Amino acid sequence: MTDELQLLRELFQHEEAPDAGAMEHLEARMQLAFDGEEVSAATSIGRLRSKHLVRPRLALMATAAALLIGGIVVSVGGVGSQSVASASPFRLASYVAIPGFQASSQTIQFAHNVTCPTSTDCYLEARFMDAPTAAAGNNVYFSGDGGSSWQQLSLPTGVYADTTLSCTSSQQCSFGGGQFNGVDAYGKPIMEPVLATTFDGGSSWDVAKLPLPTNGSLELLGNASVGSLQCVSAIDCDVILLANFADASQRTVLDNVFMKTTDGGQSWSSEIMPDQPAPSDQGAGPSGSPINTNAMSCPTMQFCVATTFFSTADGESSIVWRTDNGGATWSVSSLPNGLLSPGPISCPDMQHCWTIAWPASSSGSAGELLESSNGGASWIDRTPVGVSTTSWLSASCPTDNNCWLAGRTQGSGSASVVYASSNAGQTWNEAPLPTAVGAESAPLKGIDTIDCNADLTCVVLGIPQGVSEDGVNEAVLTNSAARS
Amino acid sequence: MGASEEVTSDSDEISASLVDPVRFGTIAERHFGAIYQYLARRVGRDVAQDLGADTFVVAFGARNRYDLSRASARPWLYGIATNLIRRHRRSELRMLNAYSKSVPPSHFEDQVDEFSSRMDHIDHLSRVAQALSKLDPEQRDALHLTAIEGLSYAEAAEALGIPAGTVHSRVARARITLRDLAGYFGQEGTEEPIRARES
Repeated sequence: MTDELQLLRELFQHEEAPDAGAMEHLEARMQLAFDGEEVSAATSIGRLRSKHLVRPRLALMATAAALLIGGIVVSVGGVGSQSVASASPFRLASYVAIPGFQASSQTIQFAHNVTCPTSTDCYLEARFMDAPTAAAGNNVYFSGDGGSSWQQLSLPTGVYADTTLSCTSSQQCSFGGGQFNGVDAYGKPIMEPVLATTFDGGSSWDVAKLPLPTNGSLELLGNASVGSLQCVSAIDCDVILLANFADASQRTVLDNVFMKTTDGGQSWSSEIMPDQPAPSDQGAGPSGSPINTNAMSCPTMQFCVATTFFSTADGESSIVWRTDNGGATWSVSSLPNGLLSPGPISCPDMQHCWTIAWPASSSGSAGELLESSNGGASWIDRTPVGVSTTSWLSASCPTDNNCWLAGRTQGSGSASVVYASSNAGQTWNEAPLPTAVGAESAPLKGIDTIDCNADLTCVVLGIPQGVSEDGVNEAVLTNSAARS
Repeated sequence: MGASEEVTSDSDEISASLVDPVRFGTIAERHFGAIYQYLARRVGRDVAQDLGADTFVVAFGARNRYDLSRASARPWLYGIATNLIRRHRRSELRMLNAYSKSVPPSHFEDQVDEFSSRMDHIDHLSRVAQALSKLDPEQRDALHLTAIEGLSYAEAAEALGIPAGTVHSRVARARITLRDLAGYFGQEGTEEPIRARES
């Protein structure tokens, strides 16, 4: 019989060798420590690189990015054509409320996803995990004052949010999630995939069940979850589900399934995305699990571009899917030079798309910003020139010309950075971030997500630096006008 | 590194570093990989990068207090790293939560061959990850160091600054709690010792 120790070891069996960033960081820190004693770290630490350095695995980077979402929420008004400013456009608006955290160590929460459909109205997802019940999911919050204060929204009983939010107005916002429907034969909760939509600013929610995905003769394993969501109107939404399937030989695959509704979720079309990996015996990534992340941008219901990143035992790969007929058919392409992209992807219209991509293999890979001007058919590098090596993690381009890029500088003393372009990425200006956040005299450590709206107001999710991670330091920053 | 240096103990290097600080680099060279991996497993790679460096900076600053009668610095470094992890509880819980959502449909072939058992196994891993997040942090420390990192009870005791018997009892309680919280060990789990060199 499998016992708890065997399971525990299986859970943590993966290797986590230090990468170039860790080596550089150690060397820099040790140098500082040695400086006081006037010796050089280079001779003593430099050889560590050859001993421990392995190329960073995108799979782990993607996972780390997913894990590290949370922390501080900042927003920035339109930087547009502004040149580099000496003062930060960001300011502290509030700390993210973390209900119950201080009162009880039983529940943890952290910011995960945020979007502001207007310059004042924002929706936020914050993940929670309730220790006594092991329930986990996302709460949804609303701010009507640009992020200065947040109100937790009441969700329908048994409904949990995944990590997707798509809001078309202050009043209308949708999230993908799951609805509890009992337990299966093994005692595992059955969570049926749903699309929950509010039309009244979060006071009430309509919950529409998505059909369980099918994939030919393969059998659905466990629960499917919403990987990507985009609503182009209150009733027109596109979804990519992630679903595990198994073949007759018990080999499994984690597939992307495109679903579309044009009637607010009453009916759905469903399509397995083409050219996905075949089922296999095992995967890669943390604990050996296959990784599949996706991102999607649909400026219209007819036109969507999606990208997905796979990490399996057969290696890492990405697919770019494009449809111009509402998902009836898809064209499949890849990124140049074998680049891989787990997203995000941002298409302000049917011609222009932007995505972040990573080299398949190289030490200290920094990621690139790619632009397509033909609807995702081909891509060119638009990474800011002359910027120090940076892990670009998120891009948001709400218009043809206006684009924001967020990431984290690599190496020692890493810090978060945001760049803005008002000419479709031809030139970039740095949007200075605060050097102190509230009572903390430290800047953001890293930014994982940036989301900008057509008003050129951006909201950023970042991680605090130099502060406790016990949940009391999460904050909202904004440069929008102060509101009472 | 010359052959003669290969046989030096950690305590030799630390002692030498009191006069020649650069010798402390050998300690980092020997142990950074393991300490980083330990940290990455518990709090994720991003935080591990900071804490990995912090561990050795703290150790360097405290080397004059190192008990030179202890040949291996491994428990000492694990202890420093574990103390640093305590300031990052949220990162650790976030990692465990992620583990619980991405359990591996792999390594089944030698363990189970029935479909239902496969599903059961996935579910078990998920539950163990969730249950681990609910353990008392002190129990989680003891369990990690012994069951995952392979420290003996004596080494874990040195790392945690507690008697070996306390490590033993914390691990035992952790295992019981894991079973209870995971909620699926209908049958009594095997009483496998943590490590053969348990002391």
